[in-house]
Amino acid sequence: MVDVHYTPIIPLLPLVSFALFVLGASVRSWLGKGARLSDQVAYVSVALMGVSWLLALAVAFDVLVLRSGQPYYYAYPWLSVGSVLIRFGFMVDPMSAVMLIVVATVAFGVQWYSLGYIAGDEKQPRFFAYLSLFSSAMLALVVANTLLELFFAWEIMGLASYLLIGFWYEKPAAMRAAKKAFVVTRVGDTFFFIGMLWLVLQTGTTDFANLVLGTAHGGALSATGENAVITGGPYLKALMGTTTLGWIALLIYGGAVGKSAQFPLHVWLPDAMEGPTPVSALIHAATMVAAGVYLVARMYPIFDLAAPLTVLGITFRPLGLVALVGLGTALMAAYIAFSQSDIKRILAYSTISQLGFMFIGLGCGGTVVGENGVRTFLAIGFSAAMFHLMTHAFFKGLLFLGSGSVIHGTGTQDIWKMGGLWRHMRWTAITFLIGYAALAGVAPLAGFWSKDQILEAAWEYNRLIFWGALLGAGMTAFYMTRLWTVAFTGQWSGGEAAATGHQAVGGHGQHDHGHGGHGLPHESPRSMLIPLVALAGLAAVAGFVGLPKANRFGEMVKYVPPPGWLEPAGAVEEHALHLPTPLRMAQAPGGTVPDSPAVPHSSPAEGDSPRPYGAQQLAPEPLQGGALSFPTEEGLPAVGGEAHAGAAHTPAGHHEVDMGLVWRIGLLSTLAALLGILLGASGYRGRRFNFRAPGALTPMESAVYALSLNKFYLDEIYWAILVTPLFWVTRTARAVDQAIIDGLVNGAGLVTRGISVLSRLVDIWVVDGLVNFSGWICGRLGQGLRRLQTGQVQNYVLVVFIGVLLVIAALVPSR
Amino acid sequence: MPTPILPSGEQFLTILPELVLLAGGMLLLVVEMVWPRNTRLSAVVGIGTLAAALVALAAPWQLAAEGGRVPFLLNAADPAHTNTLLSLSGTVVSDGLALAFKAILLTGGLIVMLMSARYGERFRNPAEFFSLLVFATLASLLLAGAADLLMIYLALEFLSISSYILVGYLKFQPRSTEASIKYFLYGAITAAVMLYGMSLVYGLTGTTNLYPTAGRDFGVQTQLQTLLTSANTRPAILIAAGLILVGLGFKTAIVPFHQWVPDVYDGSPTPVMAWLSVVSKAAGFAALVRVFISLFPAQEWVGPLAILAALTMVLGNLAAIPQTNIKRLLAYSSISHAGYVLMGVVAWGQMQAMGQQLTPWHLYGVPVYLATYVFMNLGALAVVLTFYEENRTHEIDDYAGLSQRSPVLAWLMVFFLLSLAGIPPTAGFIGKFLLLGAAIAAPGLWWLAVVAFVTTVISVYYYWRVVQVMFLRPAQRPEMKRREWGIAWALGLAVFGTAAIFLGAGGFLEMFRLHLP
Repeated sequence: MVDVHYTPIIPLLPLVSFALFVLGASVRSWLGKGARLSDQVAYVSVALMGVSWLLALAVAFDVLVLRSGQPYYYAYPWLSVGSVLIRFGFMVDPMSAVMLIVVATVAFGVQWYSLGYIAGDEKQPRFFAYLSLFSSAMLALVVANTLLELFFAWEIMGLASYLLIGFWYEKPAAMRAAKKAFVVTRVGDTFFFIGMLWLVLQTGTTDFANLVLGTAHGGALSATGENAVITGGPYLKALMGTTTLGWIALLIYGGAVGKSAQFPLHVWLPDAMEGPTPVSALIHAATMVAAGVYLVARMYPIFDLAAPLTVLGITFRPLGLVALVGLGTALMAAYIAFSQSDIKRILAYSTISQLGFMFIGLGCGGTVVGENGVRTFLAIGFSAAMFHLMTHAFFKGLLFLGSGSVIHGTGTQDIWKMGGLWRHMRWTAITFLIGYAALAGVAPLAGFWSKDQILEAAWEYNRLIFWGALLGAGMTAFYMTRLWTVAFTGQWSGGEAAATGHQAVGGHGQHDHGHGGHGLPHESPRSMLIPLVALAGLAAVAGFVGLPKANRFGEMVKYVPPPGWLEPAGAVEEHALHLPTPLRMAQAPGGTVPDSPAVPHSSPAEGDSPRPYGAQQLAPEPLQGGALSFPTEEGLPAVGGEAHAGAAHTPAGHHEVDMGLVWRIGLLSTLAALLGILLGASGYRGRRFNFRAPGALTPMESAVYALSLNKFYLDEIYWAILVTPLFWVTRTARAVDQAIIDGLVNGAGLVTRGISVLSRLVDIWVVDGLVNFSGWICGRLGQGLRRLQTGQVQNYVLVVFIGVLLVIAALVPSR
Repeated sequence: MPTPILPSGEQFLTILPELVLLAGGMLLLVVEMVWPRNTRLSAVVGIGTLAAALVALAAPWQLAAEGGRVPFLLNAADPAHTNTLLSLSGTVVSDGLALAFKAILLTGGLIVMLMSARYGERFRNPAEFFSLLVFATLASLLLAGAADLLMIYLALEFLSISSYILVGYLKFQPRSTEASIKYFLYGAITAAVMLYGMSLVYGLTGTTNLYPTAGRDFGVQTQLQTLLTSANTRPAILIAAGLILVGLGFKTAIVPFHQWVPDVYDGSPTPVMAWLSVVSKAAGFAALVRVFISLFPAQEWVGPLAILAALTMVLGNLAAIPQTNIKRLLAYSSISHAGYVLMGVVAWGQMQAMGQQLTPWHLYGVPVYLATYVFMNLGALAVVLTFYEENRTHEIDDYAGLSQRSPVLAWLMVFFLLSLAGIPPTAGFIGKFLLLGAAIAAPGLWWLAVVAFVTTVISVYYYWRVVQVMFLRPAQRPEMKRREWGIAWALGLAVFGTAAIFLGAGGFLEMFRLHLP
């Protein structure tokens, strides 16, 4: 029986196919047969991904059903610095199990689909190698047991994403997009890294078992699955209710903003559509961009247990900021989607918008401190966001694969050059329709249920966010209807050949796919249609796991605050267990904290107390009341003086479903969706009003239109305020090493008398010596020396002397 | 009254690796006379010498361990250990720092030797080239283990003179000759300045021994502590510190003593550049740590050195961006890495200055970073060398399409560049992780950590440009075919080190504790 113990193999299999590619290519190259492998490599890659997919399903089934949500945990010690111990391993809790299903399914579907899509491309083997590398990293991210391991996978994903966006590097746009994606996400990653390091220094661990999982809580690990929920782990106790935690949370959120394309770092995602369409489906719609949401969800206790932060007089809770940024992103991206004419860009903005919805869900959950200091807990947001992540992965993956099929069949990406596809590409159209309806929020498709849950969470948290999100839902329905109406209904408008006079600024009709010369659009090969149908099925039914009355999903994937947290704010301090926080204490005056005997201090003279690098050392520092012997196998740390039995049954454990509210929200969201659909359908079919002629707009209307068309001018703004100055700084830095030094030489005499005397000494000593030396060696080394005479060793040496003077000047007066 | 515990015979065991190198270097000169121009044989002898020296390192290691647990950095106020760890009239020390650095230097030397196994063919007398490499490595080992100011100076000069010749070894190439002369002029002047600083210290204290030795119950350190309290002698000591910094700053290439680096690296033979950027730099840092951490009181110098570290990081990384030549790019990158290591030294000093307990972050950050740097930088340079041997170019633009022309080479380069940028899953991440952790944990140095963060992000940009050229530009030339065992081994070792330090980071750190059986 395949059970959770097969987890490590899941990310390993795609890695094997990547390694096979690199090794195979080198062996062939070694044998002198040319580095390019045959196209058959693709089947190996798909087959291995298929096995990985089956294993992922089995593992997820085991965790979710057979083990009732009890997580699997396995780790081995990897790095121990002082009292910071980092273990490497695997963890599958219900949330990662769900992610495993999503990622493995979409990855497998996309690889299968790519068999048809990329067939005949010269670089086909490489494409599958990169896809495998990506799948491996993403699966590793999902089953990571520490934040650090998650970060590693996160970075490799960035690399794979870069290579895949730039896959068709013959197009300059693709190369630019790849670079932009890498650099912009890297900005977020830096914040993430800082946050992680800070967290390690504060708590001494990045282990999810210690930080977030209720299992390590000292409470008995029961078979009911209650322990599977995410709560603040024991190592957070000392930090609970502090602003430090809030800042760490915001830094980590910075990583999510980059990866999940939230404002203001969303600019890379639309450009990333230059990559092949299967890549857009897998990486830039379903999985990688959702990793940011997953990251925030994983680190949810850190976000939730922080004290509100105050910046510039405004006090906010970290999660509130997450929700606000999410709302802003959702509305902005939806608005931009109104005017785009490239089918993939419309979907890209839709993805940004939907990711915003997920962050709204996350942000509208968690703890809220009321006027009287009483903490209330909003349960639904967390699971709603993860639920939406899952359904979105299915329907957005479907939509992207559908758009790939459309591009394959028509040879264009400009929706205005399509039209009437319903007649020519029946299977693609049917599946696309399902995806479209699911995204627009039509009941009872998947998107409807998950979006309603997010709206419900928003309703509970803040009515303003609720109405904003509802508006966003309506806008979503509108732009998707526009896409559908223009591309799929009506008459075929002739593809690339037809030079229609439409305002197609955004879409430049660049071929995503190699072959031109299209007549009528044609349906795609079966290998592309099968994944489409499969994903359409999932997009239709995936919502039923989270029905309001029988929310299986929410029962499994949830977050509850740790015991004692929900009492009035001031009271929490007493409950806080005292835990050693290694490096923080090293900074404290005196250097030690009395009740942390387990923290080993090392000194240069004595070194550390001899600790064998073995089993005893693995245990994290003990909790109050007994050692938490954390086993390396998935474990039952049922130790500890006070067992928090029933910890998970705190008030928030069961979310009371207010059916009246559910009905009201369902009705409102359906209304919004219908309104959007009606507006879009009538506007773009040219019946009542016609949106098709931007030329005929009033100045006010054109300004509004231009704002959407030009994406709020953010690219231009970034270029002006960030990129251009950076280039200037770089040029200056180079100048420092060359030109300014000359200036120093010239100015040396003026600066001080001392320097001028020194300068003369240098002249006598170095330059004269140099000349004599030159004369001696000149005969033999003519060429080299001519360079040397104009070379600037004198200047270099002068810099040394100025440097010495400055260093000494800095040293002497100190103290 | 401290007396050496080690019998005089055993004292020589503490420099057994050095003696092995000396013998091997001599042997190479004999080889050159008996079998002239036999590159293969002399390469084998050279590689064998370095491998033997690495094995011979077990002797001082074992000897040090006999005295119980070895301190990482010998403290003058630790009479028990000064007895066991000092040898040869107190000029050689074998504490944890010396041993760790010797292991790093020998590994680096071995990889460079492997890299140049075939490269030697172009010289008229390859064995001489290899023997110079061996002697230069010997000098670097002496520098790492020096416990006396005079010994530091002599080792540094020995190191420099061997390097001058090595840099100019392509004597019919004007660039190489020019580099050699620049290096010589620069090195001679900085050494003179440093010697002046040392003479000030000697004049004030009457000794050059860093630690108390037999027949004398005080070392420079103890003397300086007293002299610093007097307003008369205090400026002289601080001036001496500044002057000594010049010589060590030159070896380690920290701003403002870095300007020779791009010219010299660019002009020298690629294996020599590899040797300079890794082994010579690491040896310089060993001496820098020894002199500044254990000789001059930390509270006097952390401030200025922190500023130099920041400058080095900023300048090295920014100046690397516009480079179009891979050797110059790696030269500036090497300057920036010196900045990161110096940040580790400063963090270490800061902890001492504040009287705080040292954590492993501070103790091991510097050597661990240099160990990772050995593997990743030599790996990248081995790729550069392989590429050059077939294509005769160092222009980054000529790397276009390397992913098709030689997928293995391209992926190896990605791996090493990721490591240089500190991106996991590579050894470079571990190094950055420790150094940044050290800086953050040291009070009042958070700003330096921020500078390091920001410059790391900048470094990704220029490293990444190489990746972009290799992967996202069409190939202009046919597939690469050349294969050669020396470089293959060098690359293998470099990959192994870069991956293994990451995967087995815990075990790797354990090695620095000198937890011996």
